[in-house]
Amino acid sequence: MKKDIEIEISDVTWTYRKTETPAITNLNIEIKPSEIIFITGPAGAGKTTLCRFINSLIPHFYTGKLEGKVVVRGMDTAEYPPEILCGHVGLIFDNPSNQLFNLTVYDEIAFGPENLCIPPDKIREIVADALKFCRLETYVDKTPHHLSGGEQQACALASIMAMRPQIYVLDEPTANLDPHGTELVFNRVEDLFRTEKKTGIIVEHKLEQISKLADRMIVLDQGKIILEGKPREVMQSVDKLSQLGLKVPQATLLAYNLQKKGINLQNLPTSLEEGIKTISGLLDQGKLEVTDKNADQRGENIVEKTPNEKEVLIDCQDIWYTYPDGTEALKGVNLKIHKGDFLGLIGRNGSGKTTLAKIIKGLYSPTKGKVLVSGTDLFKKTGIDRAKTVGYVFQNPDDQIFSKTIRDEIGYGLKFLKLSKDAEDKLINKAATTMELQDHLDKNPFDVSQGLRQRVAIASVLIFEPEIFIIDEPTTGQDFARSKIIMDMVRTLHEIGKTIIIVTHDMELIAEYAKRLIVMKSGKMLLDGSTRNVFSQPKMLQESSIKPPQITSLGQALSKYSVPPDILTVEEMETILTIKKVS
Amino acid sequence: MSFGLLSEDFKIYKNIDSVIHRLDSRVKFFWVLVVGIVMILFKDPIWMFAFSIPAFFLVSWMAKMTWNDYKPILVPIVMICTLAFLINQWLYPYEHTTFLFYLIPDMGVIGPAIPVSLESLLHASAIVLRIPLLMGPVRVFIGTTPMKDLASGFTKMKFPPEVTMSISIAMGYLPVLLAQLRSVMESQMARGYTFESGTKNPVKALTQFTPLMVPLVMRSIIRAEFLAAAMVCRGFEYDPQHRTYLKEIKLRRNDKIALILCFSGLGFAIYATIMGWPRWEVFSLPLIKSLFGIA
Repeated sequence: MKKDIEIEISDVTWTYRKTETPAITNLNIEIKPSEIIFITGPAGAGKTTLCRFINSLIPHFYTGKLEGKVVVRGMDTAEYPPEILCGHVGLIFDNPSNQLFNLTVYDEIAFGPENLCIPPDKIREIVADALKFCRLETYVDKTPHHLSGGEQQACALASIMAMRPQIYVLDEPTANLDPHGTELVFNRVEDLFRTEKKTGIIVEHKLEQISKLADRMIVLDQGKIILEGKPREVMQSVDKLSQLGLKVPQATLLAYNLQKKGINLQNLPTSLEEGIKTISGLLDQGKLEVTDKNADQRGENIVEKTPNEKEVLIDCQDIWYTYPDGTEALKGVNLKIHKGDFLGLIGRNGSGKTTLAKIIKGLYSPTKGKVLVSGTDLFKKTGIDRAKTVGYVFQNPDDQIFSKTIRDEIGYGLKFLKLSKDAEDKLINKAATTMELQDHLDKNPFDVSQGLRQRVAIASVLIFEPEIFIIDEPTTGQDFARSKIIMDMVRTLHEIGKTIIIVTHDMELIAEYAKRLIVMKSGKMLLDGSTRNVFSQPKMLQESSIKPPQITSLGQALSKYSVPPDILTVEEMETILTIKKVS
Repeated sequence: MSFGLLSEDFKIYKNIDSVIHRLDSRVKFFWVLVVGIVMILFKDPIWMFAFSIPAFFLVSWMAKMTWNDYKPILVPIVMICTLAFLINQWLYPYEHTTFLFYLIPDMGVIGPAIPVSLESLLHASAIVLRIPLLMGPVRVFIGTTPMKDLASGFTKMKFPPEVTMSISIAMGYLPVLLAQLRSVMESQMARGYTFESGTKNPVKALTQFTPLMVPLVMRSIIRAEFLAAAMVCRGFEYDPQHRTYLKEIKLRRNDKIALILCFSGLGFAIYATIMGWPRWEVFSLPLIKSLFGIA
């Protein structure tokens, strides 16, 4: 082992069993003690595989062909199995529910130290420390699966902390969390690395948050290192990052685009604060000027102005819903959705947005209140009639796929309609064409990519030709490129005349696509208005732990330069910030 | 559609404090075992009832178990019992028996008749009663014993710790599996899926479950792999024989009293069986015949 090197990955190539293409090719990385490495890359880049090397899950748990060597704290991982390395390396997965399996939070945290045969008194001490660090003292007797996503991930972090490892490997720890949960986890992770001087490998897509924390950033693609260096340096390669489908912070992208137009910038900003500094500097220097061509349209709530002009499709009248365990999920929601709306339902986990969506679909019957769809009570319709009225696409397509071919999967719902074979084929082909699945109809849905399965799921709902589409968290757990693809598909549905309701946590995407937003908080509607109007009320949004898109916040911070507070996209900001011509 | 076992509020372990909760998991397991042995030894429904029902109600009350804790398991138990009862009625020889009525009358070419006699009724009841009379104590056992205590108890009884921990974790994971099933069910219902409970064709009944079972199994397989990896990452295979159990398993006064009661019950049951008392031919049949004046 080289001196002062904690992790040494030398010439590593790894091919999983039953696959031909290596997941990692000729990889070389050296990590020093207390160094924090930020790893990112598109889906299939080999990020998770890399994590599995560090605690020797590869080659001991996952089998395949390994070439090269991984040495962690002087131990060759080929010789030391995970149960030995777990005292040195802690690994946290992306999905908290896949790594918590004990009855109480306390048991969950104690599980690791118990396995390591640590004496009971010492374990109690360790568990108390971990609970305190992760702010979980009040949840000791709770079942981990009953915690919120962020708390679950904090519990996973505590359970790893209790094993006192020197190295922490975090594999997309916030991929499945809402913004509130993400903040909770990032805070704990930051504290851990700052105060305890641990070595960290963090795989993430959220460039802005992690780049502040990391010493080095590595971008992987198809098992190889594409970019490596200090986060600030790597993030200057906007073109390369965008080509890989990674989400570049909006402030960085804006500055990069201005640079391309001829503005001279030494360094691109990598955070909101830096973005504010850079742009205000340029405005102060007179290199940029603010020209808002659409000034007359701003500050108006378009949705509130025009409700009567559109046909009301869904009318939720005083909706209440209480779960069997007594949780009041909805408390008197009144909502009208108009034909052709592109509506975003936002709010933190547990705010009632998914419950409301499921009531509109007719999956849950409200405890009190009525849902009228085109004037008819939804709950007087049969199951198949509800499917024909409102389509619901669930977050995970794997919750529904069961057929042998994509054709059968798309056409599953049609068997309840008892149509002729010709009519069925016609509808299947129509839905497949809209979702660009014509060439895949005879493939097994289990053999195709996640993105394609998502399209199959949408097509299998589209088959009923419902007027209203509800799409539940389509981008959760997806990288930016996939999220864009999904949202573009949703836009296609909107363009063919469907009314869209999207439940989501992704503010940047929803700002780009939705025309109207409903903000839910504790079972009630906190805000209802046009996307511009809602995002220009940051104080109200804060009440529901929602942060507007970075570009909107940037505009709001530049209000003294007359930059409008409701900018939704980078492109829009570019039209407002024009380069001053030197006369 | 009734969700029964899938309902949000159904929890396998009842996280409260009671005398039964505080008992050693091995003692509770021994009680279930005693009930199981007695159910095999006894072949008379009245003896079965007399032996297990008072103990069951007493333990249920002491464990603060309520009707709601049993409700979700009732439907599957009733279904299994009905099936077992019909099969046993059908298979029981009806020569030289006390005829009561026809379950299915003689319909010539369609199939044989299923007559019900006093003997077949007692025989089928004795067999069928074993299911609820054993499932009740099992429900009390898992409702009052945290899975971890179960694992440590079994390990102390010299079961391989890898096996006991795996079983306890799998049982602890059951609520997640049920949540997964709920989510699959909602996904399919959103596409028009409905469960037709009245279908008589067994093949059709089975195919109705395919849209639920295939996604559930596929997702469970993937989850199982992640779970196994997570367990390995937390040192599960480090030294299972000597792993620490935070909660010390020790027989206390109440455990010893419970054990004495269990042993006494078992001793009496074995003695009664040797004496040939708990057989319906010896006890219930003559009793019913004399009560109703049947020759």
